[in-house]
Amino acid sequence: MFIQKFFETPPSQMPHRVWWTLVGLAVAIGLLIPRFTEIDVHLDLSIVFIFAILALSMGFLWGFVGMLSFGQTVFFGLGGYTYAVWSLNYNETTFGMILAIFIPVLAAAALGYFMIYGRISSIYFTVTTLVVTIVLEKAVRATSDERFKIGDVMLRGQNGISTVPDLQVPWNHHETLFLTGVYYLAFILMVLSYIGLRLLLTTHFGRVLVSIRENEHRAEMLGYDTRRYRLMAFVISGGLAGLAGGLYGVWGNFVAPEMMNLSSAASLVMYVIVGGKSTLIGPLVGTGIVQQATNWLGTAGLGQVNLILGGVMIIFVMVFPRGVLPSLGTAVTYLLQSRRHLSVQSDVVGKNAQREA
Amino acid sequence: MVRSDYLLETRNLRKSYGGVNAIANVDFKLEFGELRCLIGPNGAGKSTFFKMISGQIPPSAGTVYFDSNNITRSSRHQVSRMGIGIKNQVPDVFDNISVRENIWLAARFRHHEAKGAKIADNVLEQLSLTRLANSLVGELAHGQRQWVEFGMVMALQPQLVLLDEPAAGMTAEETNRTAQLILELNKTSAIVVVEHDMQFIRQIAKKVTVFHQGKILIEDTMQNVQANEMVRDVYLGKSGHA
Repeated sequence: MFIQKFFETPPSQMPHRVWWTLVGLAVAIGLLIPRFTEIDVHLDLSIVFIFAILALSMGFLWGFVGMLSFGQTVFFGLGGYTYAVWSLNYNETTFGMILAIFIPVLAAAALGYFMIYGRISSIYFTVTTLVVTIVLEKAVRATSDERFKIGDVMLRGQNGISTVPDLQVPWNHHETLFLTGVYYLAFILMVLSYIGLRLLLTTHFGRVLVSIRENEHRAEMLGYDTRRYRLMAFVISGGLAGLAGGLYGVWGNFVAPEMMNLSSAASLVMYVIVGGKSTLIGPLVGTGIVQQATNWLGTAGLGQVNLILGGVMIIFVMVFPRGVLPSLGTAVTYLLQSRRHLSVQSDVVGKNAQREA
Repeated sequence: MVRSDYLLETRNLRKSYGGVNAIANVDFKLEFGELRCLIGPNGAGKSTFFKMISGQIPPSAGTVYFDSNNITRSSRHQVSRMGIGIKNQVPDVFDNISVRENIWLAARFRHHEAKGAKIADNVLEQLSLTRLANSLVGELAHGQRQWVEFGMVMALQPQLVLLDEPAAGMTAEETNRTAQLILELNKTSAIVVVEHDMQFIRQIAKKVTVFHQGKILIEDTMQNVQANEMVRDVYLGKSGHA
């Protein structure tokens, strides 16, 4: 019943009480975990949360506006590099983190403007974003030469920047967030992004986005300038990916071109597909599952992690075409209904038996 | 801005595909509040004409004026904002969202939260769709999906409604209901209906425009049009009564 309520409220309506309860419960557990676990667990989970924000940015755009963007890694990388370059130059991180959102927002606005107002079809949108992330990755790789500096910070090409500073507490620059602090920050930002997007879907703006996914032509004929809406959605998700990028820099004290390569872009799609894109919780859960599977395969010593992972993904897509969570929701609904059905049947049988007796 | 005494007027409107004129220099005039039916045999250019006056395809030449505004090159959302509501032949709806949400999205465009919801409820009531308000549109029968789209157009409260074969694929009963709805809607909006179901046209028609080979053949009352020899030849077939 709980899970049913969680899934069945249409996104246009305010989430059900049950939803708030479950989210509250998850938050409580998330905040308590560090007390009962070692630091390596915090470290592992933090990166899951960070990638979950990134996956959320893609899942929102893909699942609710119908735009599959491989370019989320562009904004992820931009966010990471922006944070690194700013905070190394100015030895200040709060504004660096804000810029890590703002610069990707600008980039998304510019890139999105040409794609969306140019009215390229959805498949070309996907391909273009994919090309942009590959081009940007190659471009950053080609900055090994010492001449490539922004301010005093050398970009170092494919070696990446490995001296990215820790995040300072905004009101006290001498105190920085370390491991467990980063865990809390990443967790809270993930939850806020999730709740924020969920609530956004209940607004007029969010509801128009979903209608564009359903039938852009009709949305236009109702008077909505769909290009503006799609651009806004693209910009929001770009900002979110940028935030994830900044956090990634904080987490590993490291940013590198790999943030934007093909493999990053593809694994992001995996997170979203495995979790399911028809809900916002899907990408979060998908990220957790795939990351854990990758870690486990890596330590199990089977070799060929990617090959096995690829095989597992194919099976996943075939067995759960809508992703794990929606399938789970359907399964629960089905079980509940068949149980109700059974109890009705046994009632009837009971009454018949009484009548006969 | 060009003075036009009509709600909708086309001047020399033309659409050609590879040298063939689908619509050839059509001058069409629609009065404020009028209900007009466009008929004609297959390939007469009705749908092409419909798509041009609704801003869905650009004409090769000529102009379309709506309420004295040149809307020839306006985009779809601009056309809608000016007060034209469009319903295409195939149900053009939001399948995976609820009936109420479909109508609400239309009503909310011009109105605030509360007013939008109220208009949506009224439209649902008028269409007898209240019972189905929370169903997904994709799960409804064909006729009901047509009405949902009809409802969206009503919720827009447009000055002009353009309907392309609104009764296509409907049962006799649904067709009657649709005819009533159109007459009801005509109390507040001018309407252009493209249709080839003669039974249906007879129920609603006041003035009828007959298209033939991309041109207007005749414009008259339904009675006169039916009596017209030329029309019988091109449209109803020489045997007469359809």
